[in-house]
Amino acid sequence: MSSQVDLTKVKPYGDTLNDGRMQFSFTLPVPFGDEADEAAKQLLIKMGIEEPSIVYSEDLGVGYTFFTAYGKCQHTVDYSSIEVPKVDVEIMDKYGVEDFIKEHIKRDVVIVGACTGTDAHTVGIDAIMNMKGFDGHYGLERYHGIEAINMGSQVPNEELIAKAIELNADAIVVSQVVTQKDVHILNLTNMIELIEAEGLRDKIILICGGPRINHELAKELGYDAGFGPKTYAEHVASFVVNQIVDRNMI
Amino acid sequence: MLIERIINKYKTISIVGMAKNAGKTVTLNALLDEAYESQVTIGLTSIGRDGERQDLVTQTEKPMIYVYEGTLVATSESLFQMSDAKLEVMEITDFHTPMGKIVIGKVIFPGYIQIAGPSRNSEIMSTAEKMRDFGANLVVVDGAIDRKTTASPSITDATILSTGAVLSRDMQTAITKTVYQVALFNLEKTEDVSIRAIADQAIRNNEITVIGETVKALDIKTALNAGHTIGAALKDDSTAILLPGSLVTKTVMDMIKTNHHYKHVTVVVRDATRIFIDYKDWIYFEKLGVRIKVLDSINLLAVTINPTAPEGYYFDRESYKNQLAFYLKDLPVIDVMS
Repeated sequence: MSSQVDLTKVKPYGDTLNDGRMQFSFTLPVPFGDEADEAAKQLLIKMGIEEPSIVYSEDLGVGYTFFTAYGKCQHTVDYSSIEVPKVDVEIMDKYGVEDFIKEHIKRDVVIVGACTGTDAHTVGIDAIMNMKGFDGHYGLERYHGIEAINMGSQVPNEELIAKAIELNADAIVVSQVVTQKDVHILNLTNMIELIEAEGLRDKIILICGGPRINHELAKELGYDAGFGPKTYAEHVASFVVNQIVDRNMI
Repeated sequence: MLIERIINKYKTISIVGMAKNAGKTVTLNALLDEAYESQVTIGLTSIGRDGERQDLVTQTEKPMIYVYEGTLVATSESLFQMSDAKLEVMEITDFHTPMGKIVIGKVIFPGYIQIAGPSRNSEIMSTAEKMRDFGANLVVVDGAIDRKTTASPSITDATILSTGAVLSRDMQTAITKTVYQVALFNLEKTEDVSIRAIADQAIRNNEITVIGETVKALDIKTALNAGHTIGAALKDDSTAILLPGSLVTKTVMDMIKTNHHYKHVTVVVRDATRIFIDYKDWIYFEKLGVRIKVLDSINLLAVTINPTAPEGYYFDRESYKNQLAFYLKDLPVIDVMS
């Protein structure tokens, strides 16, 4: 970070510090033309953007227009006062996790994962569980000392829990990608309620993940951890093995 | 007043909601004000997150929570430091949440506070006990989203249910859902002494148990995905099946498909928070002659309503309240938003 930056008043950067320059792209349901450009401009002014300019607009057909615009943001945020709850554990790489298991747990760690409810998108759970992993980060199936079971997508919560009970799993990993009308929230709370009803909550580590999940939300939902974008198998694995030791689940 | 129905009767109560934005926090604030007027020392915690200005899920405005002097609160470390009320630390517990350890504090100077207590039922129970030891006359456990397990009689002694227009744009649908939830909470308790005696052991050992001329524990760890096994274990002489864990639609469905013995068997669960059957399936099972009873019923104190939904629509206050009150008979229905 530049030393000239006042972290209590952070503004967007365009060409020079604190010029507030921002780029926008959006669509309005109005026909292409000068009136459309003017509508887009007025909208930006209402958003508190100074000197808005519509630099590009395109007819999307059927009476819709797409815009690219620039403008100056007048607002600032106090970066120094921001505190985002994060998974508070030292992230080890694959080999670090494997050594940790060998040294402290001395048995296989069982992790069951699925994309639950109506959600059919395996991309998240596969990135964490599958052997090949994602973006150069191997998945849990490849870890020595971890038995990883990926049940796939559209798995009902009760089947995921039944599997975890059958295998005496240490952790359950739930992925939720589809979030329309907050369907993921109800699916995630249903999972917790079932686990409590089964009397399992103290015996199992519960993790949720997905593009709209974060650690703070995980707390509200009743999970032990929440992993958002840019987290990989080693994040999940580091958290699970540490919890097993901290919670005396060895 | 709500508090009159509570003080000297219950030590720990829960507020649970049918959904987000059903008015749990408003109900809590009303209760805190009443308790202050009646000089009842409250111990306050939440399984979710309360008192932040903006909702984490819906980004809508949320009511803040104001605590009076002497109130005990259990909240996470990070929120403890952010509180506007001045607190004295009573105990730093070992309970971890994603927002830090749970700290129990006593309000020295009143103000607004954010609450994020333990997320697990077992930790809620022991936190409640600690707050009572520090002098709370009544512990209030606020719920999260649509979670209802804290209403379990094994966790709290009595419950307030918050509901509202948020459940459905159609008032009748919203009322039906609420009336069904209340019916579940009030589900008939099995009075059979022998069943209750056997149930104690079945719960302790986590054994799914069939009662007939003999008592037999099944060799399964959960009823989930095991409806066929349970159905097959029912015989001519079976009278009851005890489930220490949950009862979901699929378990019942598989059980009744296996054979006809379910017709003379009572399915006994610990309490209504273990039941995961929606209204339509419940009606269907009832028609087929499935009998479900509980060991402990839930002491439902009142239903609070919020006639406005965050999506912008609302019900007619009076007719919503009156219709709900009509179906719920003796149970008080309180409009917390008026």
